[in-house]
Amino acid sequence: MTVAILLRRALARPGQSDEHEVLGPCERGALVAGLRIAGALGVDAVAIAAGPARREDRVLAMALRTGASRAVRLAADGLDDLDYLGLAEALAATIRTVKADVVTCGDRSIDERTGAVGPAIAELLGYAHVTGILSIAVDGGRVLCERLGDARRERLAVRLPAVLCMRPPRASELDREPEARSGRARTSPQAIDALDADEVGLDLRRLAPRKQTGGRLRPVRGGDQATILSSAAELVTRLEAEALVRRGPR
Amino acid sequence: MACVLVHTEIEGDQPTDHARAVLGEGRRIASSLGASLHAVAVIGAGDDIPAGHRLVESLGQAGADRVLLVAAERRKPTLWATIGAALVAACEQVRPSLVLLSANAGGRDIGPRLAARLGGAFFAEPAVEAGPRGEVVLSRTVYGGDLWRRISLDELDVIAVVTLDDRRASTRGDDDAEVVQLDGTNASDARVDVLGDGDDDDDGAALEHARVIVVAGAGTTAEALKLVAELAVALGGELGGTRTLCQRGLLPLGREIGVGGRRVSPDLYVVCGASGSMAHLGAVSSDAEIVAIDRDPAAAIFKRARWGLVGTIEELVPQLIAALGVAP
Repeated sequence: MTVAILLRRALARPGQSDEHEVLGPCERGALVAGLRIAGALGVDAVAIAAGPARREDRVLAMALRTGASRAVRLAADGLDDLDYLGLAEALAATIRTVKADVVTCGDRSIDERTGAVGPAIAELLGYAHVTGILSIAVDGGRVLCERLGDARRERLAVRLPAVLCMRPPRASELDREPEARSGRARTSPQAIDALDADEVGLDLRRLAPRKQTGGRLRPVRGGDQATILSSAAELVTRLEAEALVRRGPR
Repeated sequence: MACVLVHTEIEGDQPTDHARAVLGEGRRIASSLGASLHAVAVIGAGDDIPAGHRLVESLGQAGADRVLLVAAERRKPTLWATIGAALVAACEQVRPSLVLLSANAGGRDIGPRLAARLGGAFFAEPAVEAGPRGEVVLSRTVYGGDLWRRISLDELDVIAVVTLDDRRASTRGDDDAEVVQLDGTNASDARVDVLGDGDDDDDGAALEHARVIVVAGAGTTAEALKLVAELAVALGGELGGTRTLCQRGLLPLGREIGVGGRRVSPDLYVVCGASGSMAHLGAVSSDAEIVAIDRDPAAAIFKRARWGLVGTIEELVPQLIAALGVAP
């Protein structure tokens, strides 16, 4: 059994890494959860990313420092142009290659916030999936999940194989993962393995139609500086004129 | 004729408010596409919902042309593991070109997997508008609001699955929707057991429906936070915090607004002492009017806000409360 941890470098713009956030908050949750499950089951944790080395190797190196036993990067052209399902197919092929029964991933990315890749991978692999997971615990062959439902938390038990889509870890959870803070490696890290499409059995030509189904990106017009107002009273006047507030006691 | 399918969650024998709102949007989209609107409701095994039943009437009034009843082994909580197979059965029955779900915890769990099962496109919480040719255009801001991702439904040659927030007003349709009940009961995923509810997470849940939100950022002290909370009350809104503030323990985690916390779609969003980071504003609807209060005139939040006040929270917030006609 192997745990796959799906990571992705946070992007400030398409193709441009975010210099402030190496990993999005949910991917941090995936890293913490994946390492915890691997530790509890006594199995390997393999960090997986897809994309160019200059962008993704930084997150994979981080995963190795924090305790992952192996890191794999899928190197193939055009992955960034695929929609959620095309990317899921590429990642599912990589997960099959490393023979993972448990997959942890972020519930949603910091940039696109779609939250679709994890469930789509589960569909392609035929695994169970749960989204919006706040915390996990391993109970024999099951993973106990606490999930954020609507106005209440839901407790679920998921039998493996499964894809677990994680919300951000709490600060206290990071504290319980000393390696995540200290940067010490739990095992001797190997070099990052770069696999190409052929090595994971991926036919990129078949995925070409998934470049048209994600929509097109356009710059947002405007983005000008805010109108700086001289007083709080002027602000209230403006807000009232647009029926956004009303004066007087509630 | 093309078909739009809306998953309508039900409580008792009525659609939820979320479901009514999404059904209303479905009615508008179906009308503009010249399509019929099917409301699919997942019922329990053995439930009998005849024509004229209160649920069918309600769904008809909310805009459905046809009500499709599909039984599932387990209905709650709303997850792919519980009702996914039932929704797939509904899609196989009517072959929709568009499927709409609520952008709540259940819809976000089901939508992407349903889209993957159907080989379709998936869009999370887009704005829906008419394009120049009268076509239906889905758009949403991405990359912290710097870019739009847009697509016209008439450009798609695959089914589209879309989660919608519940800001839409419901519409009025005919009362007499046709009822179709599919045979059999759809199995739930036996690999996922529902153990029960965990801790209540009511604190902060109202943020997702609030029209006015005041949010405190990392630069807010405990003392200043009290003022920010008073401003939220004065505006009749909800109080939220950024990830950094909530992780400092100044507000419950349920009040975190951000990509890792709650997503919000208020009309007015007042940001006090917070940056305009992608992790924060990525979770705020693009049509919210943003007001920024920050002592640094070069703060990034002023590039996202429509209006700004430069100064400290301690100085400006009491003035704002006073200007609202509420005693600080």
